[in-house]
Amino acid sequence: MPHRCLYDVRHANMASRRGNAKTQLQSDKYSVLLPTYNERENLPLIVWLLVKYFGESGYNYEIIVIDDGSPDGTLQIAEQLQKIYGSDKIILRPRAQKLGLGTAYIHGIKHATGNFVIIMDADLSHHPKFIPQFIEKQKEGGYDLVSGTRYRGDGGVYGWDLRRKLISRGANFVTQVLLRPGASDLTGSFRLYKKEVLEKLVERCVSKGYVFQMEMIVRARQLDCTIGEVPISFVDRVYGESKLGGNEIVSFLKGLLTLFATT
Amino acid sequence: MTKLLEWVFGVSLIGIAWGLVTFDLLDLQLPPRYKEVAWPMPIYLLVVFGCYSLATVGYRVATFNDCEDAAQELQAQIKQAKDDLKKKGLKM
Repeated sequence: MPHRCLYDVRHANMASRRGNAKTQLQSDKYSVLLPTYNERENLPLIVWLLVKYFGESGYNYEIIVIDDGSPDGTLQIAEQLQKIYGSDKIILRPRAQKLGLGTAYIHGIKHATGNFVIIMDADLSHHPKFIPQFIEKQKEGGYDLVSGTRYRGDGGVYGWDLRRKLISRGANFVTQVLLRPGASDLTGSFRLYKKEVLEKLVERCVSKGYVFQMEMIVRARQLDCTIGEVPISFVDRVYGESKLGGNEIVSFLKGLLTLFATT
Repeated sequence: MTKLLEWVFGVSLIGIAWGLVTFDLLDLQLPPRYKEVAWPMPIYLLVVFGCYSLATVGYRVATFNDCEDAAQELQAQIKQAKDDLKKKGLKM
């Protein structure tokens, strides 16, 4: 019985492959999706780190920058980076305006030539040094997706005060009790997906923000996808500017209850 | 079945079992001890769950790793990156 998570996809692929007599041995390629909005300062740094760690590990990769019309000139910086590192490594797929994460992923996947997709934040809270660990974990267990977790092993955070930690752990506890998702960090957005898996999940997800990342894991569980975890460190440099206020907590709870009632 | 339905189902089962024992609905002639124990069970379970939740969240907050090293490593690498990119011709 084929692994259920990719069953529909394999079925569709088999029909198209019947016409192709040659079977090509393809090595793995990793497409990193970087949705950006006003990341003029951070984008060169995150790209430098990605190039460093991918270079050292030897894995084949590309970086797809999806800029949502940043007014601070992020796209111009991205173009300079493209000249430095090559347009086969740095791919630009900008959009006219800020359109949301789910659609950014869909847009990015369309142009991804890798068979794996890595999603992460471009503000340096996610460190590329964990990517080789994600890749190795995925190879180890053949996982459909590998999720970075701040809550297990030597995963953790930097720059969070007690209040933030309390809210984070409290929210995670409520989520675990209600959804029993089989993953320790649901709101994290540092993950490695098989490309077909990401495509399938994004088209089924309807929420936004934190809840979108949670819904991805919940839907993956529904489809019997296998999930691996790697502890990561999350270095929050912007916390001072974006306080976790009452509004965010309320919308998180609304989203959580919606998932509870509908999945 | 949605998680909500799972919970409703589970709670209903427990509720029916509790009701049967406490109010002797099936006329089972159980010894009074059973009724005495069963009657406060719902409150008792809620209190136990509440304590468990507080203890668990408290423990997890207390043991939440602070990644000092990661932050310092990042600062050092940012300097490295800026110098290297300037050499490669990036105008920041």
